[in-house]
Amino acid sequence: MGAAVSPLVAIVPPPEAAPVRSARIEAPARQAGDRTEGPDVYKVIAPDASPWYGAALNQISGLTALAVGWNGYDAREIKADFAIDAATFLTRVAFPGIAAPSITPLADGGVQVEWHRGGLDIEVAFSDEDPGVYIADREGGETELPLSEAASAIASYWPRLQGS
Amino acid sequence: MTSPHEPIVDFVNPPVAEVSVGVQLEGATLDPSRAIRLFFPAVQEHYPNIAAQPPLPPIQESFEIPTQPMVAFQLFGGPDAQRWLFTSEDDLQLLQLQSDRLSYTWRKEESDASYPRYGHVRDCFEDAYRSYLGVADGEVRAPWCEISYANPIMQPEGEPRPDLSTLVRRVVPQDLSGLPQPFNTGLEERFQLERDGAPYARFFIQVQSTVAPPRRLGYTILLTMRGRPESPDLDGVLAFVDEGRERIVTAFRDITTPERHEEWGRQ
Repeated sequence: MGAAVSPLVAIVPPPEAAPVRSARIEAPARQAGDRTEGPDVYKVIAPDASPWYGAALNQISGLTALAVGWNGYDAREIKADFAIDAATFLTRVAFPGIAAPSITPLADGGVQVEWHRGGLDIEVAFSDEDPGVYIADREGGETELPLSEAASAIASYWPRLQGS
Repeated sequence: MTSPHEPIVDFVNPPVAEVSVGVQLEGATLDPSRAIRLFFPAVQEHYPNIAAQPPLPPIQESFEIPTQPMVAFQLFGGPDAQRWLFTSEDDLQLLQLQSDRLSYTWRKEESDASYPRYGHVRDCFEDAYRSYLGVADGEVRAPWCEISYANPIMQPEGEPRPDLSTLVRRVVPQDLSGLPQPFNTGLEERFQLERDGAPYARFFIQVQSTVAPPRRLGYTILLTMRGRPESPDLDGVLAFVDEGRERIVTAFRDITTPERHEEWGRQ
C-alpha cells in the first residue's frame, strides 16, 4: 500500500481491504471466429464486496451503451478498456462499509468514479486526456495522484468514506 | 388465445425435454438468506432438495442496436451472488431463485417421464411465484419474462446425424460438390415483436447439433421468447408466458417437417 495522500489523514486500513478478498476479473473466453452480437461478459469474482458493488458494475456496463454525442455535443463512446479499468479499480476498493461512489461518463470516452462525503471530494478518472486521482480535502487541501495510487488513496481515506 | 390447459398442437410423444418459465424481479425482492428463511419453507413440500450455484445474468433485451453495451459484468461471490436451486424429489422439477430472478423448469433429463403439458408447467410456476409474492416484504414487479422449450431430437445410437432439412423446413437440402454431408449444422434466427408500434419482446429459434449419452447424435431445437409483459404484475406475467407458449408451439409446428410430425404421433 502506498503512503498516505494527506499528512492529516492517518492510514487506517479497512478490514478485508486491498483488494477485496480473492477479487478478480476474468476476460471472456473467446475462440477464433467466435463473434456474437451481445456484450463481452467479464466474470467478476468478489467475495465480501460492498452491497452496492453489483449495481456499480451494471452502471459501468450501461455507460458502454452510450452512443457518440451522448452529451448533446461531440462526446465519444465510452471505451471498453476504461470501463474495465473502472470495474477493476472498484473491485479493489469495494470494502465492506465504504459508501457507494458516483460513476459518470467522460466526454473523451473515459469513466470517472467519485466520492463526495466526509469533507472530501475524490475523483478517479480513467481516460485518455486527464487520467488520475484528484482529491479536495477540506481539512488538507488539494492533491493529485497517478492512477497507480488510486486504490491505496481510497484505503487511506476509508474512515471518512464509510456509508451510513 | 388458446386456454393454457388446451393443446395447440398435440403429439403423442412430443420431443420436448425441458420447459422453463422465468421472471426478472425488482422491488421488495428476497436476498439469498431471506430466500432460504422465508421462501424455501413455502415450497419445501414440493421442492425438498437444495443446491447453491453462481447467479445467472439478468433476463433482459436491448431493442436498440446502438445502445447495446460493449461490456457487461457477471458478479460471483458478492452478498447477492447466490442462486438457490430447489428441486423436486424426482429431480424433474426445479425452482431457481436469486435476488433478481425466479424461474420454474420441468426437465426430462435421462428419465422416461412424459411431458406433463404446458398447463401443468404454468400452474407450478404460478404457485411458486405466488409463494414468493406472499413472503416478500412489499411490492415485487417483473419487468422482464422468459419462456423457453428445448426439444432434443436424437438418432438411435450409432446412426449418423441426418441432414437438418429432414427436420427443419427452413433449411433447403443441397448437394455440395466435393464435400460430404456436414457433420455439424446450426441455425439461429431472432425475431423482434412489437406492441403498439414499439418493440417489447424477442423470439429466438436456435437449432444446434448435439450429442446425447452414450453416443447418440442429433439436434436440439431451442425456442425462446423473452420480453416485457404488458404489466409487471402476476396477471401480466402469466399473459406473457401464455403468449410465448402459443408462439413457441406454433413455431415448432411450422418449422418442423410433416414426416417428423408423423414420427411424434401428431393428433
